[in-house]
Amino acid sequence: MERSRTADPRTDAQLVSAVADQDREALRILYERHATWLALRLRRRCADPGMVAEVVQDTFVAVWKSAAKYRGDGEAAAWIWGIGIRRLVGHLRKRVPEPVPDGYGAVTTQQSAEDQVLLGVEHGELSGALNSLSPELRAVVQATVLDGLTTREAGRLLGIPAGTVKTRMMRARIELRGALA
Amino acid sequence: MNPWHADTALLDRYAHGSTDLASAASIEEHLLSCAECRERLANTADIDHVLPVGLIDAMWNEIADVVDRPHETLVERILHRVGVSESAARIVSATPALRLAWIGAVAIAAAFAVWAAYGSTHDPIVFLWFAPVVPLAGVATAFGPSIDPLHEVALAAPLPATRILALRTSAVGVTAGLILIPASLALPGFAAAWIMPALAVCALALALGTTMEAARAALVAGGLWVLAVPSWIWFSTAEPRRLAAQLALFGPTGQIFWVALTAIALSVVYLRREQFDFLAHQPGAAS
Repeated sequence: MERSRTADPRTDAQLVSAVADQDREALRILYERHATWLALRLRRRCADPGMVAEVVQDTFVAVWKSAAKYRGDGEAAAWIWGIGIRRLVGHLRKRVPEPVPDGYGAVTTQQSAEDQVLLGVEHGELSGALNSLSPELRAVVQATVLDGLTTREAGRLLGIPAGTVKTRMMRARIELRGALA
Repeated sequence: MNPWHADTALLDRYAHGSTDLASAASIEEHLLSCAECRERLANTADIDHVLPVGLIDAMWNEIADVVDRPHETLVERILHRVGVSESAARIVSATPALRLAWIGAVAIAAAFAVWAAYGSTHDPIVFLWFAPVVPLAGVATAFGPSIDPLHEVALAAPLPATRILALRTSAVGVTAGLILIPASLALPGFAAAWIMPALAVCALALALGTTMEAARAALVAGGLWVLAVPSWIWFSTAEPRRLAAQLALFGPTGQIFWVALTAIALSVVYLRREQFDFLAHQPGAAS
């Protein structure tokens, strides 16, 4: 992929509004700026590379179709991620649940208060506490707190019932509180 | 802009999935707002281990394919929504009898028939006589080299010819119904009595279509129908003859006859269904 395209002077937000006006070249530039990190980030949440590729494709087709819905408040990258993670959940729903990859250990979206607390502390007690959670609890924390998914979406992503997401989240809170006390 | 940037080693580890939850979360949050780190991540050394070589370009080709595809027509979108496959939807929507001009002509003709039934004679026989011709004309153009501009394409479609014929005739039937049923509601009494004869005549055309080209088959079936009504009136012995003919053709006995004819014709279609593929591939023999 040539670097020249990513050097386009337009910002992501400008590109998205150009895409809303059916500017195909703008979509191409957006794709080149965002496809790789999106694929990598999705890859950490889905063990099947074929499905990741499908989700990335779907995401940019959705960007093409619904660019007009982007209101321009906030990062275009966050908007794209929001589409991507929900597409992934949608794809997983069509399939028999598969075990979550070990790599499912990290991420994020909206700047919720919880996020900021989590992310403000990069090294220290919190990161130690997070990393010491069991893989099951960590996956739930990542899906709900960091990926900003609802309990139901998180359940679909992880292939567990929504009720289980809730109880695991509760247990994770208790553990974190204990570790940070 | 951003005072903090992820260092290359960290991005590397992130790309390979070997960061722990806390630092991966930091990186991901940072990537959302930092174009510079996004680009550096994309250029991370040996990213090929994680994303296959050429994947990014291959995915773009798929996206471009969808983006560049012509818009689906309204008919296609509706068919798609109800579960018809993409190729089948295209073939149905390209049915000659579903073009706006055709539908418009039929609507005008239907209005005329309603007017004729009301204005001059006050009995619906003119409309009942005319109505079955509408779906029949649609069936005539549903399949066959002489009328369908998409005939060659339809043959190349991954569907058996019978399936295409069935799809298109049902599409024609539905549109004809949409036009004619409201029209027949405007008429007194017998108004819906045309439906069974219409089905019978269409089924007859399809049955004949197993031995001759679709347009010709429809012409024969339609001709029989068009002649049947006036000649019945002509040869009726009871008085008044028009009413007697109406009762005979559209009354209870008549309806039973049409049901029987439909059943017979459809069984012929079913038994000889392979003929459609055969005829379709021999346009010379059919014309």
